[in-house]
Amino acid sequence: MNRRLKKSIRIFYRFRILYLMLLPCIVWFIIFNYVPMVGLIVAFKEFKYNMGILRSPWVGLYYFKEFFNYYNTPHLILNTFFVGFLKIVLFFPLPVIFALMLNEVGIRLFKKFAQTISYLPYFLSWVVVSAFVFRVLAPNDGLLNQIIGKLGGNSEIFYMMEKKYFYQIMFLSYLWKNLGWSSIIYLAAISGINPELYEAAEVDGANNFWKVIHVTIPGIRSTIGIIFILSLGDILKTGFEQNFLFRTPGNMDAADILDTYVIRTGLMRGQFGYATAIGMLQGIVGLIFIIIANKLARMYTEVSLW
Amino acid sequence: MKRKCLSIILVMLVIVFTSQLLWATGKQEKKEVSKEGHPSTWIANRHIKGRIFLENDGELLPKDQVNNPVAQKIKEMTGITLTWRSTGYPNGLEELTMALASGDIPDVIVSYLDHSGRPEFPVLLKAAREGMFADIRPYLEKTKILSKYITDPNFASKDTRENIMLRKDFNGAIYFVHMNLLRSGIKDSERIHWRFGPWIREDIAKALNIGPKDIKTQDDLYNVLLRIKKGNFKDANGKAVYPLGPRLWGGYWISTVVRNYDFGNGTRFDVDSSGKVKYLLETDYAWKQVKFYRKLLEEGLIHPEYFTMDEVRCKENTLNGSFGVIPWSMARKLEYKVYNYIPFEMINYKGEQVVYEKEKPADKVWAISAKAKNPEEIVKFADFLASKEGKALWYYGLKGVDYTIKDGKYLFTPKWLEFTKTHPEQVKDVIPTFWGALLGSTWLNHKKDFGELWVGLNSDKEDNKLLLYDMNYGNPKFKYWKGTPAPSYLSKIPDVEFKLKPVLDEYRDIMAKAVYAKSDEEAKKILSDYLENLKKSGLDDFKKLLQDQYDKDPDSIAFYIDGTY
Repeated sequence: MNRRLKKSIRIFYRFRILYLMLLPCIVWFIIFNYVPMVGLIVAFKEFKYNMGILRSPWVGLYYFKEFFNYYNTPHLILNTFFVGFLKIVLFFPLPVIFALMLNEVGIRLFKKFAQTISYLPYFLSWVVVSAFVFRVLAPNDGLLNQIIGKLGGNSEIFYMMEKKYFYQIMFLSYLWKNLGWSSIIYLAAISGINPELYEAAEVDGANNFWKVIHVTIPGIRSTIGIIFILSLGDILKTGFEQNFLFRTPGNMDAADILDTYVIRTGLMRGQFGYATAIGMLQGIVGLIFIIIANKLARMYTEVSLW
Repeated sequence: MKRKCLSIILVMLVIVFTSQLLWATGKQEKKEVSKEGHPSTWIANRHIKGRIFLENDGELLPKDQVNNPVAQKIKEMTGITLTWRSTGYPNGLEELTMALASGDIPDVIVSYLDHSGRPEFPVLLKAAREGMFADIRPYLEKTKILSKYITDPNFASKDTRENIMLRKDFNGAIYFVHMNLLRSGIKDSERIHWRFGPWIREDIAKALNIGPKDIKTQDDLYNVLLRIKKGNFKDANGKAVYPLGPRLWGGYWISTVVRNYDFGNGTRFDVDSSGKVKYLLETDYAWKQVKFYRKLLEEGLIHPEYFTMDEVRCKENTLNGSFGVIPWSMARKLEYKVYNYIPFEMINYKGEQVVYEKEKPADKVWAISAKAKNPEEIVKFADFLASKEGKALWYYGLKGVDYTIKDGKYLFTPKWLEFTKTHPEQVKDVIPTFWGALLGSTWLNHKKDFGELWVGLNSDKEDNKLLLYDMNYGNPKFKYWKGTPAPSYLSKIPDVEFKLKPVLDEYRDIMAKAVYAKSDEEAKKILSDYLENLKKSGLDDFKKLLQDQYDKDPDSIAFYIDGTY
């Protein structure tokens, strides 16, 4: 046994409890993230119920060709990128700002109250949120239209039926639902900053604002960077539920994205191979984004995944 | 001494009488039990597990599927315990697809299936072709009722026989049993004619003096809606009614209120006057439909959420009488506790003022898993449930307890009728009609079997009055359609189906989208873009197939069907 291996075993034994604690996480990843990757071969097969994934016949790149031949593919890809941009790029700084603001709240009771209130919407399903949004924005008797009507405005606007309002509604409801929950990780990172750094900044004459700029933000910079890089992997996978439920005939041009298309063709029509092929493309594009973002981050900052 | 002798004689008499009685009873029981001591209806001591892909209809199952009196009686007679699993998943087709892919199929499954053009069928057909279901032909052949699907050519429709059950490509195998079929030779007076609408609030119709045949044209309907608006009618909450509201089960595009322009009603394909197959959007009827709705929207005659309102709100508003006219519903007395709606028919694009009905209606399908043990027992059990004896149990409950028979007519007992009024929500827990109907509701002739057109008509005429009233209101003419609905043929060209089906399915959304367009030009462009997309996806190939089939045998295709699809 060479020395290097002996050293590794020694280190492993010394931290055995920590490794044991890591084990469930590794098992979870293997079961739910690595084993399902085998299913990607369905993208190249004509899935047959009686043959399962492995024994179904190969069809090569048939589903990929069909997808690129589909008349609506460019539109779906563009929509998906735009929704991804809204949910990832535009949304991204807001939980950071929210966490910084919460951190500055001096009254402990109010801070806890604000945190709890902001987390709660996360636990509501999109079905409930969509019903709520449809009711609030309903023409004539919806809450928003009633207020506008009382103020003398046009109370007949059917917001959910108009394409031009779709992205605003989608983004704001997404923000309302996820802002609090997404800020937790930054609050945790902030709490890990050495208090002595704040004391040192105070001695140097920094007020609260400059402490945030020079201590808090640099302290959580690596967390921000890594989460941003990872989230770029989902640029084409923004989740189907919200768009699926918010979709109406009037806003369908904006609401239709790859995820909703996958659900409609894959699950509702049993085209598993086709749906997997699209899902695979989404994953590949996400991976390319992660690699590029990581490379850029490593070139210009010291933050990177690898 | 005399008294003693008398006592002995009396005791002797009692013994002799009792022994005779016991002997006689034993003899009678011997008639009904088999050698193993089971009744003649006995099948096997077994638990059949089923799963239904019927969305919220699962709520109609009894709370206790094993210990309710009817299930117990059936267990006693057949040895079978039947339980259905329902997840309440909001989309039956999606649930079915997932269950088939994951192999989560118990002994027997039930799915929606009116005809082979329904979206469930391609999924079921693929599963059958790929060996997911058992071939039940050998077992069906041995049954009393279900064998009619094979032996009686007048029983099932052509679509049921040639596309669903006895398909040529199945090579003699049978994988499905298409349900809720009427018995062959059923007379017109023995069947219920459902009315689907449109419906107008009865009090409004009376107030405006509108007769059952008065709304014939789009202009007539428009004028009625206008009068409703001007009439300042209120709903149960004192709010002004919307002249036209969405359908009862949630808003979407439906052709019943644009009847004058309903080319290819229900299929969107039809033949023009020169015998050429066309798609609705290739005619000017599509634009006329859109234009009519746009006019209603502009003038505030239609609820703005007509195409999108969810089912809960639609029902709530209908119950409150918030809509003057609704486009589609089924006559169901419980739905109209507050306001009665009455049906009317407009003239269709062919110039007929009739109600279109499927000549041989069907609804739902069941199939047995290829992995189910002893499928013959399941088929036998389904046959028992489809027999008159079986039907009586899941329709009427226990004889003497829940119903009696007088002159061949089945009558609910006063005690049961009282129970249905005091505990309406528990009716399904005692007489589990839906539970039994899933396997047993076929070969139907209720009038012949039970002496009434519908369950309870003889027992409680008042309660069922509305059903008959709706059916006969305005003395409508019913016209039967037959043949295979045009969309069913799409499965014959799988490569085209793959591309075209998703685009065809966008139809309702596209039409609604055009209604909400900012201008007529934009609306027309939406329609023409859609037609272009259809053509890119293989519409012409499909039309050619339909044309060839039509030229070969015009009766084999149904282009114009009832507009509920």
